[in-house]
Amino acid sequence: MSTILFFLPFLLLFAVLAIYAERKVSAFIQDRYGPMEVGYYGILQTVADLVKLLQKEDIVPTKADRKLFLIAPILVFTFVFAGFAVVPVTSGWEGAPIQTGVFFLLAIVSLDTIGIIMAGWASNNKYSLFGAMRSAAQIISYEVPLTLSVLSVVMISQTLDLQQISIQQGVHAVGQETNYLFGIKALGIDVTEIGGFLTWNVFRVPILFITWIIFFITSLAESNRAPFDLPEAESELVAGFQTEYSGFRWSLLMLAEYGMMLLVSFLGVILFLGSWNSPLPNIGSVRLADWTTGEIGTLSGHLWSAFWLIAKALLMVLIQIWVRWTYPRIRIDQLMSVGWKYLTPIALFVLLIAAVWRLFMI
Amino acid sequence: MVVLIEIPFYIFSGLAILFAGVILFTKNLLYGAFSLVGTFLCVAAIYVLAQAEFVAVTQLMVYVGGIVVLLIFGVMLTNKITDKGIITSSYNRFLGAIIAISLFVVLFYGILKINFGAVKGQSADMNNVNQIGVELLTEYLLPFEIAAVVLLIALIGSSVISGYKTKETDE
Amino acid sequence: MQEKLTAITGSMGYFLPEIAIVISLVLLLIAGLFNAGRLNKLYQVLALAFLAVTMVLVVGQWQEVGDLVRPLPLFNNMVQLTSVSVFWKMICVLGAFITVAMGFGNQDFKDKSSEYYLLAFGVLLGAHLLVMANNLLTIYLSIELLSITAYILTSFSFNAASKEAAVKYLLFGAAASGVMLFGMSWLYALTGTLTIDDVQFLDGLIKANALPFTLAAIMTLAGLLYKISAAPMHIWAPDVYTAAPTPVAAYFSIVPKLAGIGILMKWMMVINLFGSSPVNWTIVLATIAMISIGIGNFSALWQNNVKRLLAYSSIAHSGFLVAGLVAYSETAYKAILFYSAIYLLMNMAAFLFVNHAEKEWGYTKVEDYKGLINVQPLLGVALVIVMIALTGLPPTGGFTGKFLIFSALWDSYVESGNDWSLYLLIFGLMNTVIALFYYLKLPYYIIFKNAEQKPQKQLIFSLQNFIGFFLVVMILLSFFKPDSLMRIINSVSFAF
Repeated sequence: MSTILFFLPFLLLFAVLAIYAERKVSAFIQDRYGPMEVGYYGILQTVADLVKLLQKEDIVPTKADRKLFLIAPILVFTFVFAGFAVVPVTSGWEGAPIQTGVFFLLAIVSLDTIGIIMAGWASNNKYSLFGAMRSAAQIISYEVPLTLSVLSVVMISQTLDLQQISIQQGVHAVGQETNYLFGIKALGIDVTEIGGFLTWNVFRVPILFITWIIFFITSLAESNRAPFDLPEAESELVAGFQTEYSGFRWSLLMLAEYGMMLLVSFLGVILFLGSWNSPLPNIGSVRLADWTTGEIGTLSGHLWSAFWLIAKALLMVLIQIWVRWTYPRIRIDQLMSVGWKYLTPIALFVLLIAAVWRLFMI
Repeated sequence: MVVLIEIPFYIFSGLAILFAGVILFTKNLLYGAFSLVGTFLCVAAIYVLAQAEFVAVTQLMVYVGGIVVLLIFGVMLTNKITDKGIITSSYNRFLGAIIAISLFVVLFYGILKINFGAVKGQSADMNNVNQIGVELLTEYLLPFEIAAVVLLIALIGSSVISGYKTKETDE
Repeated sequence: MQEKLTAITGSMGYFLPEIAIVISLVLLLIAGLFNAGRLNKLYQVLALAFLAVTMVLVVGQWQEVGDLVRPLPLFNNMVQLTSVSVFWKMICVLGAFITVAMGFGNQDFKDKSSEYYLLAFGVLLGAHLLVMANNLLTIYLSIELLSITAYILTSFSFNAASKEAAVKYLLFGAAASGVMLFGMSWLYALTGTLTIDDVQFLDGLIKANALPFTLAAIMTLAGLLYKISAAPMHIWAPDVYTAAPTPVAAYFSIVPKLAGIGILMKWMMVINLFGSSPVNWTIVLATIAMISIGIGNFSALWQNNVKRLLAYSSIAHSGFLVAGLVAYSETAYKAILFYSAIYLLMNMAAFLFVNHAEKEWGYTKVEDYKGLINVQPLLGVALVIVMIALTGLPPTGGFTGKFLIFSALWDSYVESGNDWSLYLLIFGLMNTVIALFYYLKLPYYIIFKNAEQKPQKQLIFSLQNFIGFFLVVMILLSFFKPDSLMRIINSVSFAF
């Protein structure tokens, strides 16, 4: 239910604002103003663009494979959107209650490729096809370190359920799981009651910090973002697999791309950065964590947890935008060697350490 | 309740068969490959209805996300995109149809004769991830490890076959 | 859960050869990372040493299983250790040893040698697991291990022909294992268990309707027949044997095939259901044996390429091994074991000499061997003896092996009035005569034709030729004194 009621409107709003943010952030980084004309400070610029897009003619190239060309954008968006089904919204409102949420999300991330390949092939345009090929190669290669990094978290949390992973990372873990400082029982400092950022996975088990960095890099690649945006490298491939699309279908592809960004940000936040838990710890009688998390199921609980989760996710999206306008695009061979020769072995090694770390925790 | 599960079951099985039919009858290899995605998705849905959630997601991940993508890759790489299209021609229609139909009849009749009572219905606990993990590392430890060796060998083999240089370029 | 874990740790002690194989595989993989191409010989020596260790461990097991009354279940009955399986394992390790001793002849791709040797270990592991398997899952996975490794090894000539053969092999293999897996799923539906010696399994099969049982058993059988390249699942063999490197062809003709026969013996016992099977498996097996022998022999008649000839001959030999199964008696099983041991000796010897002739002199066709006896008397005589043994004529072990199989068939005809045994016996005898024509083609060229030119390299002293001559001596010895081999085989117990 959360998917239709919450994520669909949220995603639309997010896409509008994220595109605006993208333009503004890039403008500030490049020392210019960005859109300024439409609305106050150009805030309605994206809305205007959207209206223009929707009015545009839906062009299908003559030589294109019509059926696949028309289906592909819908498929891309559907796969991304299906991923939101398992993402929890608040502490009391989880997504679809399935036990294999993390696993499902990983599968979804890889499904996206099919739609992209379909779009690239159906366009019957060499740039589109190159873009699609690159995209498939990239996503398949980066799926390996992505999965391995997620696996380390799963090994620490001992569950595939996203809501369960969330609960473990905060004050609600009391009675379910004991969190020790840095996950080392021998230190004897019980931080379950303290909560806050100390019980986030990246602090709970510090080795996961490295995992998180791997996860972040691979998530950039999975959502085809710079510096891994080779599939749509505008200087080489016009716009990659999107070249032939226009109007509403193109906006669907765009929506899917931003949806993917948001999805991997949510996943990263849930797995590593304490999910919907407050970053503020309980200090003695100043129960900051309790106050800013709220009881599960109450109104304050819903509001606080939704606030933290979305705020953190948006922050991650901001970092993605920041990275995009900071780093140059890498070459395809560099992309492959980063994925296979560096990230995968590191992720494997960290996975081993995480397994050992788990033994310290109990 | 039973009916509620049966309706989507028939819908998804019907769809799976429909997509499989497209694979068989389409002359465009890529359409076939994309229909395979549909078939696999429907089969995953059937797994969900059978309360095998983990298997369903594995199906998505391995088959739809991995194998079909590689398949499509293969089809696209082995054919020039500018060419007229990827068309197969089928031969021996008559003989093929006779063999296929008779095989189908025999197998179908055989399946009808199976007494499925021998297979005990397991407890339909949705949270079977832990159970699967424990079983894999106790009861099915040896097959699990053999599978690991098989994968290792396949990995070595693929790199050997794809990575060899011809005599001229060697060293 | 506790008992299962105890069972696993308890099983490790009886699993040493397999653990040794996996460790050797990984060590070779690591060794291959260093200076590939120049340490060619080192890898071979390493592989031989690892195989020697494995052999010692297997022989150690032979002593352990000597006093077993019942099969020893390992890993929660996924595999079983029996004296039969240990016998097969010894044969497989021996086959692997000779193959590795032949070396990796491909001079252009020296940097692939460590992978070559480690893949040989992969095949060996698959064979070991297959002969011990006691569960449909283990059977399937070990067959996959055998097959996938075999596909890769086939392409190790690194030329167009070997790639083509590998792809053909892969396609046939994938289809065969698909059919087998489908059959296995039926068996599970019929019984609710995968353990093949389970009471529940046998009970379920006995109670099952005849049609699904027959279909399931035949579909599973098809996958196994594919592995031993028996008709009608033999089509891949000639291409693969010709295109693959000669040592690999030798390896394929021994290890996967004999492991397949090993599991086939067990599987036929299971689906016979103590005689209450609705299908008369004797007829099925006799037909398969006849077709295999017939196709193997008649196709071999027109072959000019020595390796292709040996490929068809190996199909015919599969037929003879399956013929031994028709009798369904302990004498017949012992005859199969004896025949397999002899088959190992003679086929390996044949491939050793063919490999030498191919590598040193470039001989591939039968005509190339013209007048070899004048040029290389020793090698010529040895090859003639091997060919006589493969035909099944005295004074070689090949005769003894065939004799034992035929007498087991005769016994089965006399004792149980099994007509098919008699038909098979007559058919087999007739085919031995046909086999004479093509097996003796090579000796004919070697002895009665004159060499047009002498080969360049005269030196025939190498490790592989030494092993070859040793095998020839063994072939002769096994005719004159088969007692010691018979004694080993007699101590095998077929308790099931």
